[in-house]
Amino acid sequence: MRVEYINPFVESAMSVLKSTVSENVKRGTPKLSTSINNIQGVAIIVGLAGQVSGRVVLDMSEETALNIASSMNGERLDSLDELVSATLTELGNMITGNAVTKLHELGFKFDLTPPALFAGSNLRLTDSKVEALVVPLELEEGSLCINVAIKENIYK
Amino acid sequence: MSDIKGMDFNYLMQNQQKINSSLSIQERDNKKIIEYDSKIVSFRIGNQFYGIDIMMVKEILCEKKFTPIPNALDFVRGVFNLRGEIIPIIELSRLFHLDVEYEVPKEGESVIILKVENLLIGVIVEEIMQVFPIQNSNIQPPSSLLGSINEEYISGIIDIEKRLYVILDTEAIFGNKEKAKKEILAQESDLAEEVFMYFSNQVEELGGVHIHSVNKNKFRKLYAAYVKENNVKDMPKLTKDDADKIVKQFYSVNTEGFWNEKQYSSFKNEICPLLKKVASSEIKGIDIGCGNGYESFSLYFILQETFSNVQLVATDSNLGAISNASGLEVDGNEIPNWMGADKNFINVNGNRYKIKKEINDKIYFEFHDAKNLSSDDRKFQIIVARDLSLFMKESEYVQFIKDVAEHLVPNGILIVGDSEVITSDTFIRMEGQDFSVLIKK
Repeated sequence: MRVEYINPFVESAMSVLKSTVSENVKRGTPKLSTSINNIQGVAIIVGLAGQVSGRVVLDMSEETALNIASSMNGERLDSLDELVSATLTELGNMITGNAVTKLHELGFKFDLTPPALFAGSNLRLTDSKVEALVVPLELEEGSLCINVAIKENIYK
Repeated sequence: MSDIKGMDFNYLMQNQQKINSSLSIQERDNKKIIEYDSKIVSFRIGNQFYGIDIMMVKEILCEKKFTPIPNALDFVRGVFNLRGEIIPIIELSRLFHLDVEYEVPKEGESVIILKVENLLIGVIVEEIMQVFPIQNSNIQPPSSLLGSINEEYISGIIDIEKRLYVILDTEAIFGNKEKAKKEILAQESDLAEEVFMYFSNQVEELGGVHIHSVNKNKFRKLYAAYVKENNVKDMPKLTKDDADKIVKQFYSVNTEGFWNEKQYSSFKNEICPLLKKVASSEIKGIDIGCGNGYESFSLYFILQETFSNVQLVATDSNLGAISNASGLEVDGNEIPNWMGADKNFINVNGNRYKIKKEINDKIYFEFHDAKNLSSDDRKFQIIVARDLSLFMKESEYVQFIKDVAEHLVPNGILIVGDSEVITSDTFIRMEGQDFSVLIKK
């Protein structure tokens, strides 16, 4: 993945989580992966299109998802209902949207697809034809992973 | 120097006279009509006669003084300075355990300088005789009953004027040192091998690299140099600094700097013509493991002189390095003349120069792990992947080379590290001056 893309995504995830969830966000070492990634329980997916094709996945456990949604709403939420889904997809939208705005400023043209939320046990994510950047993030509410895979459309 | 040269000449003259006088005029005339496939240089040790393919012989000389090397193997007489080049001198009779004692002539010993795989090696023989033209069909295969010299180091035996000449296969003897040592000196080398393993394990652990068949040869040399330099007698004990220093010596020329004039002209004259065959005006390339980006920019500047549209991807799995590579900033004296400091760089302050943005934008810097190359579906005319074997296990590297082949167009070029030996059926190796070049079949 192009070096220029990395920072906007990492920074935007950090700043959005800091402002909407909790002040204390720690970033782990970015990794690269192509193999099968186990999804912890809840995944929010936002597609990227335009100059590139790709997707951003926010991956967390159900417990973390509920904690994050609770923090964002300012009330305790205990089940993956519509409100929680709406909150989390919005979170995905904010992080990706923010990153794409930053990339626009750098001269890259990306479009977003509406976010989708997947939940369930034993979910797996495979994409052998694109290398994904995986950045683990640590919050008080639990840990989540931001998984970004982008492929250039030009230059094939 | 002039002494040696003079002696050299006289010796050859005398030898030639001897040879000439030993052949009658008629014989000499006959020789001219013989059709031959190759020529051998014949020599004698004890009562036996041997031959070496003349193509392997660089020169013949007569020399008395060799500089002995402490702690060397018993067949190594020492080293010799041949017009500035230091070459090892090996006593053939001892190497083959021939158990022959002979008097050293007053004027010096006869040395045949062999060229084996770009290495010069001198071998001492008792007497150099003459050059024979031979027909390959006359060579008879060696018999395992020959004894003294291992069968596989002999190309065959030929009968010339009722004398049997054993033709030695110098490539087999000196070319693959590992093998030769193992066969001829089984006991000693087993121990040496063990010590080397001990050494290489430490380099792997402390230097954070992988040592395997692709890069082992160079590490053997570095090991030998290390032993010599530090006068190691038993098991070597390395510090992290030692290991880092050794790994650093493995790296190809100018890994941490722009390519120099010599590399520039070598690339331009040897590799660019090959690339022209597979690319017209547009060329796509990838520099895998670009580190701080010196290599990528060097490559880019050379390619853009020949090709009007250069699309270059540069990747590394070290996020810090690849981030620095994009928008590289260097000291003015790091920029070689051929690169044009004024044209392609902006002076930021004092002697610091930054690569121009429009040039930086032409190269795609990507955070990418070479092990995941298969996930990419782009095709390239040139792939530069120098010294990557250090960062992969042997099995991973084998897979990587397969992936590389997948990503190259037919006849595309792969450049690997200076000291890496790739054995793959998919590639043809080309002897480059400053680069190890492989061409995809």
